[in-house]
Amino acid sequence: MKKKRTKMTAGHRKKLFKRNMEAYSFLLPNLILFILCSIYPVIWTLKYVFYQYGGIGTGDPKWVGLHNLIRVFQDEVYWQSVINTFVYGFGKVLIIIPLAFFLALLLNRQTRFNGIAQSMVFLPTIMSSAVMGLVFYLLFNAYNGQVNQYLMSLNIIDSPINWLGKEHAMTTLIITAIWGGVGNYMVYFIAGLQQVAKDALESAKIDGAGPVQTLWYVTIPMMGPILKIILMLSITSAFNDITNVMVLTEGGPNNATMVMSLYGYRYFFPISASEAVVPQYGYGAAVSVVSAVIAGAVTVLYLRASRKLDDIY
Amino acid sequence: MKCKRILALMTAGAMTAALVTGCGGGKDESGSTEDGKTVITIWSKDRHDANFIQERIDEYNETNTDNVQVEYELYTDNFEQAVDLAAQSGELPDILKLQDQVYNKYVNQGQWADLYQYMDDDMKEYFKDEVYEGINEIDGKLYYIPTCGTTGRLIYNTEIFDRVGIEAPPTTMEEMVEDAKLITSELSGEGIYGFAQHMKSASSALERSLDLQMERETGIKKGFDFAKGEYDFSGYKELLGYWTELLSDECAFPGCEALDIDPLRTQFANGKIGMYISWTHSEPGVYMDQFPMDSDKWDVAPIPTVSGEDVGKQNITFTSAYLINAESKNAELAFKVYKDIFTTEDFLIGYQEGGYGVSIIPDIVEKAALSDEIADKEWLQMQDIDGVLPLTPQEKNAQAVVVEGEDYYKTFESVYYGGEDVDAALADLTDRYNKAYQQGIEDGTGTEVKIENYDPMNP
Amino acid sequence: MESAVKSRRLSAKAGRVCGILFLVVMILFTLYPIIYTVLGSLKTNAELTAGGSFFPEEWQFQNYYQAFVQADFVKYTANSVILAVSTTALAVVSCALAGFMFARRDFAGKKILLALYTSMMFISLGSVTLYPIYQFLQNLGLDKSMAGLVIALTGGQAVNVLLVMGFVKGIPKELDEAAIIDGCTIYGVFGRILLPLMKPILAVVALFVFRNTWNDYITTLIMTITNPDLQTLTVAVVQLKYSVNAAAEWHIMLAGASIAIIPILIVYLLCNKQFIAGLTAGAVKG
Repeated sequence: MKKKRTKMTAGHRKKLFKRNMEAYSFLLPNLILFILCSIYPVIWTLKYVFYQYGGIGTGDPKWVGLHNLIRVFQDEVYWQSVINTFVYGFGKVLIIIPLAFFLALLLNRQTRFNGIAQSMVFLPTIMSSAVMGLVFYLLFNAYNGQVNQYLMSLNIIDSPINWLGKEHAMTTLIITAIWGGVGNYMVYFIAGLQQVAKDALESAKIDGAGPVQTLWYVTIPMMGPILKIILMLSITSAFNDITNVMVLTEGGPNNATMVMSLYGYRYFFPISASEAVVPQYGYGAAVSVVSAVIAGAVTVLYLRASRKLDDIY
Repeated sequence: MKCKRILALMTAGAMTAALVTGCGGGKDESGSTEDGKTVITIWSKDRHDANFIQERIDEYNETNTDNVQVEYELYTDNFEQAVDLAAQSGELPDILKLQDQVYNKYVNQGQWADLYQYMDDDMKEYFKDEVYEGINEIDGKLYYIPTCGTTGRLIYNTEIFDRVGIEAPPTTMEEMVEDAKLITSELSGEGIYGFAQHMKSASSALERSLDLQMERETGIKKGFDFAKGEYDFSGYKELLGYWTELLSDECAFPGCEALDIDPLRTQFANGKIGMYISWTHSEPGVYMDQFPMDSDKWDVAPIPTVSGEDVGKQNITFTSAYLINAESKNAELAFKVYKDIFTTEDFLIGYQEGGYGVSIIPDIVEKAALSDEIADKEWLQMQDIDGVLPLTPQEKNAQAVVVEGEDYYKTFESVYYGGEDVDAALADLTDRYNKAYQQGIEDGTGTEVKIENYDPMNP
Repeated sequence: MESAVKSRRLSAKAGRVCGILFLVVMILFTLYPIIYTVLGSLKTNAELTAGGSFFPEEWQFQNYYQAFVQADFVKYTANSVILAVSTTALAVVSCALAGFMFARRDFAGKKILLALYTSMMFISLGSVTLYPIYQFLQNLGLDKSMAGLVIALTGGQAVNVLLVMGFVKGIPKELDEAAIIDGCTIYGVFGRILLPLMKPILAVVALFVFRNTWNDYITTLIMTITNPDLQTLTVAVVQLKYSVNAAAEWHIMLAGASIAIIPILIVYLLCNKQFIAGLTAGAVKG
């Protein structure tokens, strides 16, 4: 191959050049967007990790070396937000996956009723999490939210629960996250169930296995590969959830619901209109980079672990 | 099939959209309208007085003889950011409503015009008492003329106080906690609680309350001791202890930690809250228009302090003033517009009478005929306990005191809600703030602030 | 033996009842906030702030009139529509072109590019990247225009490019080879042969981009700070929460929220099969 290439004629080269030009003419629109909106911001952020910068009108960016990164590691509130992110992520995944799976089992058979039920459960996933965050804010208000009113009129509680207070804010957040995501994962699971071979199920039935046994010994093991993908998606998405936190709790009270992504954000932009920020772009960049590394590390660990599971099977 | 049709529609729409966006990029930036009028743009951050001002501007647009068209634009939600972003690209308007952070950030860069150069002697004389050196007058240049101010007061429900037998509003924190406990313990069955504050945003809540208490109590403003020329948070301990009590279940309205100011006001108007602390300029309007409440049912008193005795004055924040963009091509004309609209006695009296702000110009206060509702509540007006304090280093230039970690409001939050150790938290704050302050001076972004023989009663 | 069958039948029945109960609870859970929004938008503010009944006492249709006229929702709706449609169009066109090329041709730099695209799926710096994008657009003078907003909202589309690429790879290559023998250029192959075959996947991309743009909050919020005239429904509704009148305007807020969710609801009702199928395609392939 190599020899041939060195002997390439001029005409050949011209043709190759033309082919490349053609290729790039197709790529161009997307490539411009990709470079501008994906590559450039990453480079910019990596650069500013090493600078102290407060924006135009505040003096030039100042080189501070590793200072920002060191500060991240000493920043207790940041690590609290990392812990919160994990609590939020695991809380969400641990509840949403079984819920979605049961829904998928119940609605797997393609009937008209199931189709309608599926659509209803799926409905929240197409709603704006910002707008619905606002609605949940009204619903969960301690003093006049409907959630408390219903619970009180059903005599489940006798004094209002402070849903957005520091003890319950995270729970409330997870509830809204489940609301917004359960339909998604249900659809993934249904897709997985459709792939479970029919004959495997039939033969299990002939062997006299009950529905629970079939589920446990046939369906779930056969869902392994897709379950892995679903878990992967749910974990990565939990790291990126920011809009609902921003609108519902703004990270409060007392940082009880501050998550990694929002913590970095607040050094760039104010979380709410009532908050005053002094932008610290350098430090915000450092926080975001460390957060991205943490999220990446979790993903890699997860992939490793799931591969090990494969080996066992 | 239906979906295909939608897709087809989307594509068709997209082409139209592309055409629209391709052509209508933005407004005419040249600063004049089609019929040759010069456009002067004003940015404001306030919605509460928008109608009043718009009327004045419309009138001016019709009657002015300079061929000027004034455009009034509102940036209520993100004013500071909008200004920052516009400043980067040199797109600031000709006139801006004063906002302290914005003003301080750009004043040293020559962004604001010196008003003295345009003012005639009459005007200088008229506003001579509104000149505060080091605040709006720097190095002999005047950057804005404040006409209204605000400060914090205790707002309380007289009916609730009467019901539980509280005769006079509290003057010390101890009394305040007692009163709040009394109300909550007797009336919480009806959903009425003693005290509330919108703690969702600690800074928004404490700026109008705790900051001012400290100023009167100790003369320390936002943690800064002007006499010593350094930050010192140690004096906050006792006060924070009382706040922790005020915000406990025994006193506070449930859900305070997630409350915004407006929901708080609705609950106050509904008679569910005994007292809270807020600004003088905003509350009368709120209970007249937004959430109607009988004026007899609420009253205003000074914010209680720990000792009940004043060592210093509490700060007045200016609410109504305008900046002229020095880089505007029409700066002089902008000043004329500003002068003709916003500084006439007629405007200032109308503003005061309408309840849009609390005037700090004695002459205007005298001439304005206030509605009974406001006139009855003497503490809505500026009193002896109020004064204009100097600026702390962080107020002068936020970027010169970049504190690592949480600001002091958020740190206080971890004390009264998080149960963190007060002494350690305050010592840590003092450390962090002084370090940031020194760093700023070293870097050349900040300047030293120290006032010899500083008298907090006579700032 | 008989009793075993019976008990199994009984437990199957019990299982079924439990299943249906579970389903009902889940459906109530997912639908309630949406119903609350729509019904709430027809109540008075007093009714809303007092909590209270499920249905409005009197149906306040003028809330919508107020939202549209006083709160400027006509403008925001127009912005939302223009933005969502143009972003969708730009995303579909750019993804179709790039996905096709990645699947069908070898060219210089392809490997590096593909590696970059794939890695971007895993590197997520979050919303802070909006700041450099904003600055860049400002340097181009696009920061106050709809065009800039469309660019920022369309973004890199790495996932969708890879999705389209995967789909095109599944289309037999013989088709385009035959066309080339017939004298078609690469443009012809793309336009006449493959584009029609790519429709299903492009529909998926279109639906998801449309949904994301319509619902987006943070990107639009930041990109419209200096020009609030370009705000979309989603941003405008949420900003009402911070407005001076917030607590007096719950009914307007909910009317706004309904205005923001109803169009996407209609798109969903018409295309929910495609939504669900698209989601599956994305998940299984990705």
